[in-house]
Amino acid sequence: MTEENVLEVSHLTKIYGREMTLAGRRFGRRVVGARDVSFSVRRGEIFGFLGPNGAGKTTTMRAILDYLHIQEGSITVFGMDHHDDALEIRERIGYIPGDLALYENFTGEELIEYFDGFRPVDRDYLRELRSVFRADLSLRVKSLSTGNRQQVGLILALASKPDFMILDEPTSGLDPLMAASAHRLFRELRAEGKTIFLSSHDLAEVQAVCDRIGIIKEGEMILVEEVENLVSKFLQNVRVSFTSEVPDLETLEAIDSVISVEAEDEDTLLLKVKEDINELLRVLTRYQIDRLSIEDASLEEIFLQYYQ
Amino acid sequence: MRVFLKNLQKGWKGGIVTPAFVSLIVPLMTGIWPQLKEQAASFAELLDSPIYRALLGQLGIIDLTTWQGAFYMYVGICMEWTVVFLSILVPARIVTAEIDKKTLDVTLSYPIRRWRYLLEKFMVYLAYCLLYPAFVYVLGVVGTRSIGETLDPTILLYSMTAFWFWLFALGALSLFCGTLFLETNRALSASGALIITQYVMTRLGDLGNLGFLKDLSLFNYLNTGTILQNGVMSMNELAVVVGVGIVALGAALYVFQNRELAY
Repeated sequence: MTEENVLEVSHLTKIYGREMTLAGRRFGRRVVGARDVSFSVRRGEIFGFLGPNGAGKTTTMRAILDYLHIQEGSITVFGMDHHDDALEIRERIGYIPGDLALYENFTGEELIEYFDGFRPVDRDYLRELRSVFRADLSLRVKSLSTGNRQQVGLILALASKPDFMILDEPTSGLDPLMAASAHRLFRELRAEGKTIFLSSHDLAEVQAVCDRIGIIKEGEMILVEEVENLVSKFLQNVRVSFTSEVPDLETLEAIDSVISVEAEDEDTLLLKVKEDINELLRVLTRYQIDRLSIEDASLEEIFLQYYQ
Repeated sequence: MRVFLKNLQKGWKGGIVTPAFVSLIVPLMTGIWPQLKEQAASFAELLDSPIYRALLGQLGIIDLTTWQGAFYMYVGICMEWTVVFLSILVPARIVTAEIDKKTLDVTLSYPIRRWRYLLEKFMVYLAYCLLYPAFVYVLGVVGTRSIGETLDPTILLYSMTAFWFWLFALGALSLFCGTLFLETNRALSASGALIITQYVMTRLGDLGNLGFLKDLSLFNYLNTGTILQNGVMSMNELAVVVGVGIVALGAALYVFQNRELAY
């Protein structure tokens, strides 16, 4: 592990289930949770972990927390093995699961007090969290709305001001105002050198708080990139109007970097281009071009491109 | 002991009300004892039937015409069934209920060893299980005095203690099923099969040549009927029950500490 990396996931492979062949027949089923996933999270950054449902996000998070036994690879947190040193690691992490559930008969106060015994709460920071989140901590969890439960979950995850936070859809169910407050807190924690590993489907959230993102799809990590670079580097919309002959769509689609070609009208084509645009431009110069515009695609378009 | 104390505090309603309700059998018996005594002689003849013998096991050989005999037969059966239901339904769900409610993920993200967490929660079950024999003991002693009958308090203490040891050992087996399956229905089915099979084996063991089956059942050890007959609690039998309980509890803690929480 480098000094800067809080989390290092190396060639993580997790397969669920077993498959057996007996007398020529297959029994059981294997499902890939994660295959050869490698990435690292640096100290003091907010790393967004994205992917469609069932892509392997929760599997990876649960593997980091040592809930799952991995078949291959290694995971280190603060340079410690996630399995052998699980207890030491947990003294320094905060976690909120995607489908958060808290003890229904406990009040928010009781939950804080209960978990304080395992990982001491930072009382000053707790006061700050109470002023940000407005959930009534004197009420039992079962009487709280989904959004208020999520607030209690966030308070619990952050109350000890841990060095590393694993947050699975942390603002799910929060109103926009609360979500914005949570984002502000995340940025403040980052400024203090804390590290956040965050999973989200909310692209605005990702753009607002994340420094880098990783996209996982079908159990495989397909991209790790700085958010800033992502927009400019990874997908561009190229709109070309031709004065005479319009190139054959198949010719353009055959170019490696071209993801899709769409005819807007008789003379104009809209192309989505990934990464290197030069090859496309070389082809286009063979034709008479009337107008050419190149725009960065939105983050949403980029994600959809990777999700599909 | 935070997990133990907090769960003890949170579970007090069910933990106290249920044993209080079960122990109501004692005042009920003291209330109807004069009528029960009149019918006891005719009912005692019925107990010679092999079916009743099988149903009552060792309790069937008790003299029903005395208060002590009737007390141990009715209260004994009530407590036996309480042990069966409690040990099947509660410990197996200590883990699985948390998995169903999805509360385990947050809790285990804190620095607490899984085995310790489970042990403290099992101790809550054991603590509330103490109330069943305790309530029956107190009500038994008080009730006996109130109707002017006799009941040996030492034997009563032995038999009630034996019930608690059953709750411990059978509960530990049930807990083991919970940690093995991590899913409520399967855990309950497994613990039910394990405990009810033992109960049935003891009963069948009283019939014909099936005595060997009894040796395989925990219900055969520290049995109320045997304690009543001998007037003491056999230390060998206690060692068997406690031994099975400790092994099962150790296995449950080991499995929960080391197994994957894939659900």
